[in-house]
Amino acid sequence: MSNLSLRNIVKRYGKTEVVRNASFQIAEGEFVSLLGPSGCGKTTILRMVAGLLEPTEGQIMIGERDVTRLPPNKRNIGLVFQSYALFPHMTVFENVAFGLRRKGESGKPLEERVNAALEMVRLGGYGARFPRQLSGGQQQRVSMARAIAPRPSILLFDEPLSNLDAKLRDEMQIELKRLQQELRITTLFVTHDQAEALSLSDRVGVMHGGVIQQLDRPEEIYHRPANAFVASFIGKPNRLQGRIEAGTVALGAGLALRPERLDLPEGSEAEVFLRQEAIRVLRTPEPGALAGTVALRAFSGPQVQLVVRLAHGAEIVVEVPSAEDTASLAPGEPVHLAIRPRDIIVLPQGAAS
Amino acid sequence: MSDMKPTLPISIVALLVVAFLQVPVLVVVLTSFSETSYLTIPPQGWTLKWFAEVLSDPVYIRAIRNSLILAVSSTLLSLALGVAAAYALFRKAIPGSEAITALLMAPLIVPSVVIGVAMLQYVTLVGLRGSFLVLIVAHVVITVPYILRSALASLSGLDVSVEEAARVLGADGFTAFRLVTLPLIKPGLVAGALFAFVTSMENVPVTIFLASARQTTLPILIFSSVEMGVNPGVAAISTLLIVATVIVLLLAERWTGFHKFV
Repeated sequence: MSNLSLRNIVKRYGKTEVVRNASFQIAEGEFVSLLGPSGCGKTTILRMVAGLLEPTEGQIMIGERDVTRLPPNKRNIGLVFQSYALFPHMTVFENVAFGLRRKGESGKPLEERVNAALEMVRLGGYGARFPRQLSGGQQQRVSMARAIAPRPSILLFDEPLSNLDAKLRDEMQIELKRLQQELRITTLFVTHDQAEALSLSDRVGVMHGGVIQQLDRPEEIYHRPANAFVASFIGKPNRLQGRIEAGTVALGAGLALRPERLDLPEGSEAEVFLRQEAIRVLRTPEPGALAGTVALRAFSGPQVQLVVRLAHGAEIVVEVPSAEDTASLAPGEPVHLAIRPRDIIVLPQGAAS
Repeated sequence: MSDMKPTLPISIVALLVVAFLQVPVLVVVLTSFSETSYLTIPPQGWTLKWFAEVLSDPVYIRAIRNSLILAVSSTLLSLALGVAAAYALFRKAIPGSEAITALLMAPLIVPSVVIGVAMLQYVTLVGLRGSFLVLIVAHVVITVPYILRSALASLSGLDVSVEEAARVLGADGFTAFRLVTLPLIKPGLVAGALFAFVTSMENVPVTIFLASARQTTLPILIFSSVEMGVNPGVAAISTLLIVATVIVLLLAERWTGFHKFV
């Protein structure tokens, strides 16, 4: 086990810069996710760490070792692929034994370690089967066992859950978290699923356009996004325009929000991000609440989504638990929206994203 | 593949076509047992003497040996070269890989006679005429397309990350290829190798330009015997060839289930 650090990593294909100057460090035993839309460069970073791609510039260190130019087989890394990438012509046992055999293990110790790895992913007794005889979830567990069996110093996950259906994905998420906590292996996890990234990681790096926009604890990413891209990418935010006036953000038509923190100069244009789930819907007015009318209502089981038109014309989408009294609000009815000051995210207008 | 059952008229037409195509084979097999010294249908009497005659004729034996040596060595060489080429063309972004592929596949399209003439002029020029090695090289040229085609098809059906997984797990490039990629493309390679072998075994147009009298191969010998007049000896050797081919195909099918790749 060791820490992983990337220093000024750049990957260029011709003139296109896929990764721009990425620098970060993952501490020993830490779980870090790279989160972003497809094509943001997250998988490219993972493949460079694995040695499957060579960075154009920069340095990759595993512990004290500079691995930038080392081939993948010399890096002692575990990698779990999106497609599982099991060896179809080998049994589950041989799949898991592959990495150990390359390290010269054999006989009884090999057998014990393979079985221990299979035990860890709760596939004890499946050794004699072939991958094609297993379900998708089981195959992914084999691929995890295969990655951890040789005790890698770094564990990499490339969207490991995105080929599974929603229910199985939730189960595997818990399994993965449990596994990582038991092993405390330094982990880099790449995904486009924010719920996955936020719930699994010690820290999350949000990527866009080859740049890591923000790398921080999940709570920070969620509540204190560094820029407009992160604010709009995470959660289901409403985006409103406003102007800083007397310590508030004035939205127009007399509506104003008073955030907990306001770092912008008086009179400047600002963008306000309000998460759907952070807005309370009230039937009666309350100091600081925004007045509006319900324009649309959509029922989706546990939640009801209300589209509320504010006095100055802008629309806000609000999520209300179905059990709430306000979930029955019908289009045309007046409502008041209360937002806690700490949930009001204010960023400068037109900031680069 | 499809669940659709063919309709009766289509089945009948298909059977007729297959029968029509197989009649010559049947004729050859039947006549090889005939006691007469000319080809006739139905065969007059039953005898194995033509088989005995052919198999005891040193000219035939040498031709068979030449053909086998030529086919085996050119198939093995084609396998080594074709697989390496396919791997390089498929995995690495070689500049002009499309052009290289087209060039290597060209012997499938260029008439064999043209290749034969061209090879003859070339080896005469460089002074290698009459060398058995030249014959092997020529056969590699005409058999490599079959290997290349099946290897490329097999590789493209493979998940690239499977070999990457092996690399990350500690296998160097060659080990990953040997333990993971090669076993996975083996059925396709067997199919390609069979085509290559058969192509080399039966080739006349290229061989006839390059083979010296001592290097006569079986198809050349059959070809020239037929010029002298067909006798059941030719039919007997042809029957042996057919039987040998069927046996090899059956064994290969059992070994790899390669029919999916043809």
